[in-house]
Amino acid sequence: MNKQFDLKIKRLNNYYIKFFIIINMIVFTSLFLIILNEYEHRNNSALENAKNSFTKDLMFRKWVSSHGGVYVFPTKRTPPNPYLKNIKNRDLFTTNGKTLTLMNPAYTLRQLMNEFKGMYGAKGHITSLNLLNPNNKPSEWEIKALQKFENSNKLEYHEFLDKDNQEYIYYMHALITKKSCLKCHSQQGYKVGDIRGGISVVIPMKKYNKDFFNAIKKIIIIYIVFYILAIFGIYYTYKTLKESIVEQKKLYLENQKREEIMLTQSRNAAMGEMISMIAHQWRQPISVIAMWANNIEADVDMDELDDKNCKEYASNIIIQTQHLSKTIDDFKNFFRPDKSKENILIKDVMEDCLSVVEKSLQNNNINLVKSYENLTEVNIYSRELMQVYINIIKNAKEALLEKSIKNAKIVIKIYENENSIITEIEDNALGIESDVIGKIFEPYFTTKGVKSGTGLGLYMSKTIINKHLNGEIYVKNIDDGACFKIIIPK
Amino acid sequence: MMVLVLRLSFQSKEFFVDKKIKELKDKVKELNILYCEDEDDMRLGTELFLNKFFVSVDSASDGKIGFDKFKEKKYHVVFTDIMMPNMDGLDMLKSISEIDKDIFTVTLTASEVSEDEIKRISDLYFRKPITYENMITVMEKIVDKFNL
Repeated sequence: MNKQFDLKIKRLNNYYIKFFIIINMIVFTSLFLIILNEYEHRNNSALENAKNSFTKDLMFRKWVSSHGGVYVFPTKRTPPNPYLKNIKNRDLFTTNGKTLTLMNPAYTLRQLMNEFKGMYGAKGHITSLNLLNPNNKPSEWEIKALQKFENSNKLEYHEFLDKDNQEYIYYMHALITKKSCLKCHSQQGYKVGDIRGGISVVIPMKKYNKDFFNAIKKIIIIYIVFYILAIFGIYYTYKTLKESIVEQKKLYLENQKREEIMLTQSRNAAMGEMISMIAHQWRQPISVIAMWANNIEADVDMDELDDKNCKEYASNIIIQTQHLSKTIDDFKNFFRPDKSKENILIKDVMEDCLSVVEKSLQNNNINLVKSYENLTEVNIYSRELMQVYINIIKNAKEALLEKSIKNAKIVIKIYENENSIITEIEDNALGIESDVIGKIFEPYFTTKGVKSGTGLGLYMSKTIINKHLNGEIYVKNIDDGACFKIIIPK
Repeated sequence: MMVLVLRLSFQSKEFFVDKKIKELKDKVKELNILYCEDEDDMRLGTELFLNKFFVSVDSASDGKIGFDKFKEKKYHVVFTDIMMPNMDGLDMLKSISEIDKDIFTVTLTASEVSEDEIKRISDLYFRKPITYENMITVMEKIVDKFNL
């Protein structure tokens, strides 16, 4: 029974270890997924921006292209495009003699890209593998991307790369040859629908990383707070549960200890009772021995001593000593501790009990009526049951004497039903008062006064019947007395 | 010499007791005795003892039989146990003393029940086991009672 509590604690520990592991798994997996999601978000935002930058460049280029290029005043910053020298009307002259030079889409775009960095430092670059302007020559990465466009149907390509300890997103979108392009590029043999170059955008990731790390920082802080709360919660419930088990164990042990004390007390009381019963058992043979001895003395004093009589007296004395000896055996048997359960007829247990108490009943003029219908043996600790019988019979005897009942009697019935063996012990001592009958099985409850009652007899009887013999014990008042019913399962 | 004197004195004491017992016997032997006891062994031994002193000893195995016998014959002394079936010694003594106030009653019992009442109702009361001296005392009291 004691082990049951240790097992409970062990089970609780196991349960909480599993619970803790699962909680950790959930926390760390979700944290990992959220971080992963934030990382993707960072990448997507950067890519989105690169695309926007590209689209803006493309729109601008489209706008220029839709006008077939734009004319500007040539300056040092915007010299006439030497690669367009084959184009008619590259340079125009105004009526007042000023010169205008044509800026083709690529030229305008290149200037735009070189002079205005986009949002977040997005830097565009228009290039091709088949160049008109060698200044537009592709970088190593751009070559790789352009080659990918040529070898597959993809129109976009991007990568995150480190350069000088800084991370950048490299994005490139293919440009498809349209009719308007051929104005400038027909000399290179382009056809409509050809991929003949691309616009690359490079954006430093610094800002996105900052956002990313800030978001992660927030998430981790929230996680740490909730994690600590959860761990505290788990620990608190664990501690509470464990304490309650420990408390239960303590209570159980205390209870067990108290029961042991009570058992000892009731055993001592039983022993006292036993001694008084031995006194009853011995009184008669001792009295008879004394009387035979008196006869010897009388014969001596009267000078009538004769061998034959003397021998008879002595043999009568010896018969009585045999009684005494048998009584001792009975009591020794009664005190024999139960080492193990035994298969025994309940009526035999009762007979063993009566061999001890019968004399005391006779001496007090209590009539004993027995009826047994018991054929089934049960496997029990017979001494314990006998202790219960003695307690009840002793109580009946004391009640009968206390109330000076005429024709005092104790009726003992043992019979069987389907599942159990029932013992009924009745007396005609007018029954138990109604305000007392509910309490008689409570510990330390006695009606006999401090001197003679410990208040443990019936409590221990109930404990023995309920806990040790798995049976039940009841009391009820009958016509002229009380009836105790003990049910022992077969 | 000393030994002889001591021995003589010892013998003389014995002789004195002997003589006293015999005297007692002679004084009480004519009385009618009723003895009630339910235990066979006890009754046998006590009856034999009483027969050594009294010529006429009737015995009964319970109070009811004892009381029936009492009604039929004049008894001087009643010896009785208390705890007996049918009618106990106490009830028997009460019934007897209602009829014969002069009767001498001796209670010999192992019972501890209603001791005060027993003492009140009987002339002599002894707890079993009964010693030889107790029995001599009984005889002496009988002698006193009946002025023998």
